[in-house]
Amino acid sequence: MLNPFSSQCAGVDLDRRSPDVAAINAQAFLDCQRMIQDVRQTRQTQALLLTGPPGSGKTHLLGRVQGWLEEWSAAGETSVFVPIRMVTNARMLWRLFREHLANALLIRRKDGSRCIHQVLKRDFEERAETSRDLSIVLGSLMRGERVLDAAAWLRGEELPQAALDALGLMAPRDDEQQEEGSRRIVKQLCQMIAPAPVVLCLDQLESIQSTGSDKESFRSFGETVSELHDLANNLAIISCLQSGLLNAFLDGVGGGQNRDRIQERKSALQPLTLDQATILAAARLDADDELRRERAGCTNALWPLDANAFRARFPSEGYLVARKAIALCSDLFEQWRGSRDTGPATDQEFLEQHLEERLKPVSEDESERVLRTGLLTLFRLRGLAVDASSSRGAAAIDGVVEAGRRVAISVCNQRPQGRGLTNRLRGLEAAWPAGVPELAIFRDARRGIGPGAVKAREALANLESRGARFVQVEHEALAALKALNELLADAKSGDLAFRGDIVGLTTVENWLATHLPSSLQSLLDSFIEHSNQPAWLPALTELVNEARIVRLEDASDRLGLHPEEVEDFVQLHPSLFGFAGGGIRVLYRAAEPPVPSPA
Amino acid sequence: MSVDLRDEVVSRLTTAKSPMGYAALRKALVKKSKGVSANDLSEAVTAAVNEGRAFHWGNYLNSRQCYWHISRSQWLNERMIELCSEDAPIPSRLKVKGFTPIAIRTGINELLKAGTLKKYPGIGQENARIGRSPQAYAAALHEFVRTRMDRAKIPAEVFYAAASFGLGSPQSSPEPVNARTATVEGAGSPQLALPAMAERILGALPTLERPGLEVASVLLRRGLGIDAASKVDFDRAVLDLRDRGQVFLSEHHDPWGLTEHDRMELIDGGDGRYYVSVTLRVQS
Repeated sequence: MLNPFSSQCAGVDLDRRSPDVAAINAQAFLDCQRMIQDVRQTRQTQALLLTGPPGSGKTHLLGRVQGWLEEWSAAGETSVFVPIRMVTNARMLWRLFREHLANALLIRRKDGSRCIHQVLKRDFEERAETSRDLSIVLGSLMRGERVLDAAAWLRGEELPQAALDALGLMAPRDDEQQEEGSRRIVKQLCQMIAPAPVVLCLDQLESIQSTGSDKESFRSFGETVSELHDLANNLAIISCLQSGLLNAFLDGVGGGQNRDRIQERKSALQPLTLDQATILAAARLDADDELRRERAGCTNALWPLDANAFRARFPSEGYLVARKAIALCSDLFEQWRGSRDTGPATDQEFLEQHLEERLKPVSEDESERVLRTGLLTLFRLRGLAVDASSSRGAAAIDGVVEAGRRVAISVCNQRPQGRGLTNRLRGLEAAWPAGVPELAIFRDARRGIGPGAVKAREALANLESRGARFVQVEHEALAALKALNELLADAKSGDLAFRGDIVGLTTVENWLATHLPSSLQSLLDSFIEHSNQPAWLPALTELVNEARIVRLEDASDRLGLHPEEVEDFVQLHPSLFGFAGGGIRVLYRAAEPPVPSPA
Repeated sequence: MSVDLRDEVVSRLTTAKSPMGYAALRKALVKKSKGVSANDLSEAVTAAVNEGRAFHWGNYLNSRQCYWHISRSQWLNERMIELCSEDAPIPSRLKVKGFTPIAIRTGINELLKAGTLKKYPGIGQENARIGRSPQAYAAALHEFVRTRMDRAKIPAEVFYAAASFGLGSPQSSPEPVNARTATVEGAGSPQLALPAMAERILGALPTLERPGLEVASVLLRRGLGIDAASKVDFDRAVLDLRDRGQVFLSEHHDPWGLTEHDRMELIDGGDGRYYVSVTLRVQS
């Protein structure tokens, strides 16, 4: 028999499997229902800020809203439910909204049809405000032609030139235009769906903060939601935030208008009283057929749990958040069946397991978001000083890292076809911050820049001649970085719980600092090693490449250095140079076999 | 594996001025005794670590896989004790090369919990300072006075001489503060008996939010005009209201990840828990 309390929703997926007790957080659910109904009736966009302590059931409540909308839909009232977990870089919000809105439209309903067929009116192709590309893509989807490519485009993914040509679409644009383009697509789709409400559920808002003191991300979010408000008249926006960040969030979202719009309506989740926790526990027990049969007629509403132990362990203040109440029940259930807990024994094991569970392949289209969300955090975990504010006003620069010397960081992951990559690389020349000697350009290693991408290669060569370097990130490192982003997002939201107790962000960051996956460790090592390379290294490399074997004294003379300085460096970098001591000290190319010592 | 090599490793690490990377350690040993293989060195280092005579530092500054004769956390603690012995710095401004702000914050919290460091009142607008002893805090105060007097072009000795007439003994040592036990005497706002404070809180909550919605504790305190000196009473009154079933409190999930200043803004539960907001319960 499975432990009916073992599944604890923690911000990962909407919780639709565990039984729902309508009496719990009924007010918050009613607030969501009223807002959605008002949006439909008044044809005015509305927003609701939903707060609650970690583990109080925000994500579970969104699942309840989704279930209600499905019932609504069965009764002929259409709507589009768009759950979005806000694990992203604040500069990519519109792309995130577009991707999830597209996914919601492409989802198949119980009858096998896609949501898009139900909500889109047939006249979209004649609407003057619909862009040419969007009309083509929607037409293709409605007719069931080239569905994979059309769906990918709708989600905002970049398509190969052949697919673009086949559909008759324009080439992708550069970074800022992509955000603007995504904003326009979201706007046009929402207008087409009207008057049916689009319910945007923005979960784990705290994840968009890159650090605890990052106000810029909340401000971007505030501006984006304010724009969303003006975009269409059929949006119901539910923003979920944990109580701990309420004040910082409202301070950060900026000006009165942003703040007022986000919290146009407010609702909060409550912890459970002893009676509510008892009802919840009974509902979970009854959800199991075998247990329900055995429980029939029991005087103890909690059987097989020890009701006295349940009351005794319930906090003296008389309330408990749902997740902790479920963890308590889980513990009592294991006691009843006398089984040994096979789960992780310590925080450390728990984190190892969670990081491993999140290690999943990253698609090429996801990798930009993964890199832009996680790279700076990765440097920070290594103890390097990171200045994300250096990127202000220069969209092409993601931040500046202090790694021996100052290095500007930029993620350039556009496909080489089209103008996107070339524009981004050219933009970097202008965006390269003054006083920063080095620029590192990160890119998914699977996206090479082939010989056909002549202009992109030229732009890259120009940057490299100014001291930029190109870092290709392997797919193992991308998967690890995505897992790290998600683990930290859960920790920021208080959604990482070990036996009911929250594993805080500090604990997770401290653990990650010493337990980074090896692929990320290697990425960092090579990055730092390169940043600490002396200015004379290229000259030494050239010398050794030419001469193949060179005496240490000759090499140091040529470079105007002290021999010991060169020796120290080459000894510490066996991957770059070979070194043989003894009577005569010589350097050679690392790939060469070592020179036999003189007798 | 040679015991001599293990001793040599420990000896090198003990005399090293900073943690040594594997390559540097090997290089140092090669100069002394020729022909140390990577395998022998690895075994010697592992054995020394297992015996507790060497410690793995992981990546430190720009070197990978470092080792030293002292553990990372112990060294950090010693460094912080050193920094707080001569001066009483502001915790958030303490920097130790090679350590993340989070590690430093965790270290400070451990030392505060152990009583090795003590918390002192902030000077001017600062929230708090930490120091090893009252003398360290006195040094910080003296520095503050000196800079102010320099700006006012008054020699510090003249100030102290004048102060000794009007302000009592300059020798008295300041005592550490304890938020849970501190008494409030002559503070800015009049001290309220607990029931009166609780009543004020209950009266203010519905004016700030409807019952069932959260009010950030900092906004509630500001709304009531309660200053820092009366915060202890405010915290106790809120906890009392919770125990009487009149309010819910939302616990902060990671209080030790906050800066000292931000944590002090929360309601201190007195049991290691901190609360971020107060919700007037809807009585069903």
